[in-house]
Amino acid sequence: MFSLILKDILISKKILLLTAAFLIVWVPTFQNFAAVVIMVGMAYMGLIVTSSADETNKADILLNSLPLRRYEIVLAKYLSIFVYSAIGIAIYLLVAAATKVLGLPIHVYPINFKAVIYGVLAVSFLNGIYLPLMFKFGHGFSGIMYIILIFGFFYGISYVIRLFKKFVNYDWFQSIVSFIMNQSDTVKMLFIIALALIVMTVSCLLSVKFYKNREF
Amino acid sequence: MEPILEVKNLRKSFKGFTLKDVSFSLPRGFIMGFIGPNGAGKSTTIKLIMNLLKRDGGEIKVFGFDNIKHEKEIKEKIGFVYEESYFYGELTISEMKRVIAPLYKNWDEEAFTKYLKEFDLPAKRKIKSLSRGMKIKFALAIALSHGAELLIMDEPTSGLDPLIRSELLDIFSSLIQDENKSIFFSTHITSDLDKVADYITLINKGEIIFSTTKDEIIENYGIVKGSKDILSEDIKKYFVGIKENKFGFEGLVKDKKQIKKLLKDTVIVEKPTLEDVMLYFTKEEFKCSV
Repeated sequence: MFSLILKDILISKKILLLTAAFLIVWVPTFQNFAAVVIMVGMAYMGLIVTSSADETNKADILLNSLPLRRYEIVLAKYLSIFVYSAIGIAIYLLVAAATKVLGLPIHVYPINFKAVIYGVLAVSFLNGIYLPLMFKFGHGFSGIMYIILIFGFFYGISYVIRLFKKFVNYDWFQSIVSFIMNQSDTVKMLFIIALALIVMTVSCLLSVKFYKNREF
Repeated sequence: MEPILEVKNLRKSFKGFTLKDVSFSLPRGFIMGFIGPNGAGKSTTIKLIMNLLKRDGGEIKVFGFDNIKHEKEIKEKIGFVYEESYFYGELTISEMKRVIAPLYKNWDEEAFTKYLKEFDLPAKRKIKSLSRGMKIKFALAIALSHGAELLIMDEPTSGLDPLIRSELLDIFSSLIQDENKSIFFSTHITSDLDKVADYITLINKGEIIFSTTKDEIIENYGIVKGSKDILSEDIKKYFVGIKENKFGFEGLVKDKKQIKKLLKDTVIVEKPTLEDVMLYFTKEEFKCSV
């Protein structure tokens, strides 16, 4: 299975490096959202490039002729998304460290653990919706659908915020909010990690079910 | 000994095409040619064996095991070469090998290096820049470097020049010297099989016409040539197919001894090629009611 992740990285290495460079240049625009943007951007580019290669080469025929179970092929795709995100963060941290060491007059927005966890949640939600669709309908489905999802996702966030504002005067809502706010940062982070894990698990199970029924 | 590949009553339906109760078996240590015209069901059968398509019914056993229940274990010992190259064109030969090698428990790096050298394949070349012949050779190098006992090939020689085709056929013949290995080889270029196949299975319109040894075909089947005057309705019954022209007729019979006994010196009987056999069995206008 790790071979498949290696394969995806070999295919997308140049694009991943270019994407990371592009995103890092634009980081000041995103300010505190830097981690989320880098992680979502890298996962998006990695997935689009490898999906396009899978489609061009009709790779499902090759992969399903090798001694691999279908769930391994699916799982490898899910893992490689986080590998792309990790590569992006690693490159950002390296650039940030180099900027500091060289004393360049550039403001580097710090990326902390909390920011990375929010990134994981965003990547999980986006790909958790996208990947089952890809495994159901094939790689050709990729490009445009993913962009629609990204816009839908950010629109969805603003919608949720508006919804929160509506509920803010209700007692039950206030008690939920105060319960969450009273928790320590660690508990809040654990809650987010658990949420991301649930989304990815449900999504992965759906993808496996869809992919097992595919014919090539 | 248990057959290395056994297909029983295999069924699969698509819109406009049905594979009807396909059955055949390949013993260990032999090459089976799987022949038939385009669209006969060769690739569908191979995809069903490889579990790339889901069967509607029937049974497929490879090494004595069900091909779905024991899919991973079976694929450890299968080498595959398809008509098209499905390797990632963006990767080099050595990168693709780096991806594939860890997936096989019995990967033999030494054998792979030997085959690269023997087939003249440059490890640093991107797969998309290889010629069709080189791509097939690369697929073969992969197939031969993990101790595969069964090679499944779908039209591997189609579109190759005669020189490379002959080179590949020599490789197949040398492989089979190892009595543990078998080759299941689909093609519509039947002349390739004249040289290497031990068994022939003919499929047409999703149905198996016959599955037998090549010797049985060469020794018993015959191409009969003669004057049209002798072609009575009773005589026609002995023929698989007949082609008539203004000078006479030519037809295929399953039992040449029987027809020689019947028609004596009024006809000439020759050995058929596999192409003759395929043609007379599958071409509608040549068909007789046998």
